[in-house]
Amino acid sequence: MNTVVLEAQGITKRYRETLALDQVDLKLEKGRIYGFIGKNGAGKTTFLRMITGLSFPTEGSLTLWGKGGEKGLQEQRKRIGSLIETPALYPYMTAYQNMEVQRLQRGIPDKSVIEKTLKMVGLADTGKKKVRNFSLGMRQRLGIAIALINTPEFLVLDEPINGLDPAGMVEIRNLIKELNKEYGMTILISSHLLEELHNTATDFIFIDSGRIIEELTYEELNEKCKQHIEIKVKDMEKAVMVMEEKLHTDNFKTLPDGTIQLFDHLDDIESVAVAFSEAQVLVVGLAVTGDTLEEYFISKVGGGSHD
Amino acid sequence: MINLLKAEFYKLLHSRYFPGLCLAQLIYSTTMLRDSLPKTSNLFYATLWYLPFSYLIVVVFMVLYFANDYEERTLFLYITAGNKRSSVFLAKTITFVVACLFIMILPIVLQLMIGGWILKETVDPALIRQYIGILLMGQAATGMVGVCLANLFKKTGNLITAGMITFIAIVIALNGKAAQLLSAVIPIGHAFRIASETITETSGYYMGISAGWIVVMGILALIAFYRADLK
Repeated sequence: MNTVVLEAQGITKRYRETLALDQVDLKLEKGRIYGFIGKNGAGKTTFLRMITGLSFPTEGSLTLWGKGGEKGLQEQRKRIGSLIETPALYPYMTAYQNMEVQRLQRGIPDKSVIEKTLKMVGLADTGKKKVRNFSLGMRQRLGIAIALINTPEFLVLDEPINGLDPAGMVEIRNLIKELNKEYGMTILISSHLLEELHNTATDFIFIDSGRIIEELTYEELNEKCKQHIEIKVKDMEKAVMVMEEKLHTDNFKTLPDGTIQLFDHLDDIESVAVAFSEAQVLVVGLAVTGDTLEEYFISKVGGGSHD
Repeated sequence: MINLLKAEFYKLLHSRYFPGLCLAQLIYSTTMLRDSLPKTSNLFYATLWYLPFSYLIVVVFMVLYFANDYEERTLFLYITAGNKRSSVFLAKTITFVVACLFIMILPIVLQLMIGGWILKETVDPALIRQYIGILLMGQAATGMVGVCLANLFKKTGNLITAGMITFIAIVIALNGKAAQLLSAVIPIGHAFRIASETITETSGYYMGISAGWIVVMGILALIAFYRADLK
């Protein structure tokens, strides 16, 4: 079974004097959530536009599910859902009508998919309100709903949480994770909200000046960022015993000030707290700390304006 | 392709501008009918007398139908769904031309029915049969001018300017000394020729001219569409 969703080989895009993409080689595997990170003008959107057929490479080849060439790619793009830059919507129509246009053009026979998708993004009760009267966040949600209408196998999202309030961001993050888990959807997200991306993605792709400079899994990134759980305890001896016997780990460091740096269980901080509590070890501080994705990104590509 | 047509007609029928323009054309042409009745020999010719000046409605329709797609970047959704550019172009063109024909022809049908009832004048069906091909081809070619301008100029402001320039050019052409000659080569002028009973050549001649315009405008529009950055 083909687990490679997208393969780019030596993709180069040149706009007259500007080199937007430079020999990009990339392989995206089924079922992963990829965070696509780079400064403004690094080439992220150019690459996403190429995947969706809005732009074509000057050199190199692109395959989707192993199929290349103009015809092959066009056919495979029916399996993709995308939101590139700002959502493309008909302002004089309601959310439902916008979705109906997309359902018709994609030839989806089941009308109930509209209600289902609108409910998924929290727009089920917008009724007869025209899109022109929608807030930025509502428009963004509708853009995501349009990308999801065909229950795509590969979802391409360019800045999907732009304009969303904090609650909206959490909702969309959970939705992305749920889609990935439930449907095994492969997701490629570009965002300048790096911490949000860190909470969502399983893999990270760093792009700078049109070149892929690094690809990391979540675990590799955490290792590079030296992410750890910092635990301050009163009884170090007992705490070490809890680590070894209850949490079954020796991947930690003890410091003279009564602090333990635990380098695993990063996505399960609750079980750490429970283990200490059950062993009646007094914990005076418990937090995930280390370099943030943002700090790591800046260390990779340098400061200045970035997204 | 069928799916794209369904989507385009859905958009059209759920817009406010389409019924609005149909109504505007009906009011405009009915007002003009009062003026053209004394100038022509029967009701059928009178309904066609001012048809060339309804091009203004085509201009407004063209702006509302095409510019929104370019400005809101909605065409990109068709492409990213795996449709060919040529299919998208064809679906939009067919929908626009059919809608243009509807906007232009519906008032004529209504005027012939209502006017005939009020004026107690029956229109000879042979007359309609004789000219229906020229009329439909002429209006379709006029719609294709709209398609071409829309794909060349894209944005609202540019489209209004281009549309108004062509409208003014038509008004000047059909009111000047060379009106008779120009009304033969401008498809929308064919209606004026029929109304003034100056059709001198065969129907095939006029339909051929309109077909030529459709092909040329279609090719120009397609090239522009292929080159367009759909964002």
